[in-house]
Amino acid sequence: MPNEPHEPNVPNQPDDLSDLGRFSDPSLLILASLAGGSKHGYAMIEDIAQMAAVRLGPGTLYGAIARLEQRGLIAPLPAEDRRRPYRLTAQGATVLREQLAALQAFATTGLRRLAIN
Amino acid sequence: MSLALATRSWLLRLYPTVWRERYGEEFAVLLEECSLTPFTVFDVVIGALDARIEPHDTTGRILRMLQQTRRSAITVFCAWIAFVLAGLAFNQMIEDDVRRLNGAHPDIAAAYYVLMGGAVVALLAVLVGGLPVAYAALRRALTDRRRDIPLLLAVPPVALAVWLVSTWFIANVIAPSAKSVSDSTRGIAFVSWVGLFILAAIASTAAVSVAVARAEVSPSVFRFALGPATVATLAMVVMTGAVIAWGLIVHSEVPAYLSSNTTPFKTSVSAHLIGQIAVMLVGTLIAASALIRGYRAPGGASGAATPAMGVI
Repeated sequence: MPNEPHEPNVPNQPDDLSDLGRFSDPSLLILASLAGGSKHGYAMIEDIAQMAAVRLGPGTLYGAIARLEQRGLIAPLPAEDRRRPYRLTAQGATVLREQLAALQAFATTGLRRLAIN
Repeated sequence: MSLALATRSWLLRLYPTVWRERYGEEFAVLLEECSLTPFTVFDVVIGALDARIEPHDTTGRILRMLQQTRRSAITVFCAWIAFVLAGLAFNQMIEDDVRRLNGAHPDIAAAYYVLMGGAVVALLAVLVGGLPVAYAALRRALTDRRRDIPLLLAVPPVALAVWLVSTWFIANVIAPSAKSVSDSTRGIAFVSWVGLFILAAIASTAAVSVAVARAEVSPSVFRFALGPATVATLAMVVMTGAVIAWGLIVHSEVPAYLSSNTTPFKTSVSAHLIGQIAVMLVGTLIAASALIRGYRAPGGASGAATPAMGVI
């Protein structure tokens, strides 16, 4: 079994993805995809398409991957047959959990308001 | 080569070399796996454009200046160095006559002292703004066990030491006294001395700029540096005005001085003065425009808003 790389040494990051601009949504999708296990690029695209009915283009995917890797939210694993899988880091899991909790709170509030009206 | 293969190869080449070194192979595989639709091509072209506009230093090898505030701080610093060189040339040019001119002409003295005051203010401002950046860069580099940043930051003291040794060598070995060497030897020695100083200044400025560009420093440090950079730029404006005023007053009250050939290169004082003022003006304009860009950058003016990419 290949050794997993160390957690990247990055400073404390803001606990959201909002500063990733147009890559914030793809980033969240990638984090959610990797929460189900490490994947390479094409597997992520397929998984995200199944999970969220969104098909990311290769340019968008790798724009987000580069940013997430730089922030230490995901980490590359040793390449397998030219494909490089990525895994979610502990920091990435924390950010994903916070993002999903915020979305859940938002959805709950919205649904409650709909029920009242 | 098939059209699809050629297109994929072309799409990959749109990305910067450093990006391809890191992601090229895996991205090429992904492109092979994706069907080549117009959407895919468009998406990759936009992705390549993004990688060129905002490169991602995942390898630590790219010289980047991602944040506008960082770019502004570096630009102001470089412009200030150019300004300082021009100011030193001005001071060197008039140093033998400054006491006489100041003593006989209070308005010339006033312009001179405004220049000196501005130089002190600008120096202090650069130190106040620059030292936290250097400290943060060095501290982070030591934490990450990076050698490049400390080595780059060591260039200025090393360059200064080299220049001081050269000065001693020129003063004591090549041209120990005015009588012992010919005019041409003295001229060559002087040009070498000045040239070495300029080289040392350029090397130091470049090294510090590269170190700051590479260093992982919080954007807040650069946002803080905008304040002192503003003070330094204002001081440069004042100093440029003071030198212009000095020249105009001298032209009015001691016109013979401007046409004299007392400069080390035996050219007229006025020609030197015009050159020095031109450098000061250009330096000031560059610093001012960099500052404006810095304040317009997201999070640059107010210190609020975008935290930008945290590690860069």
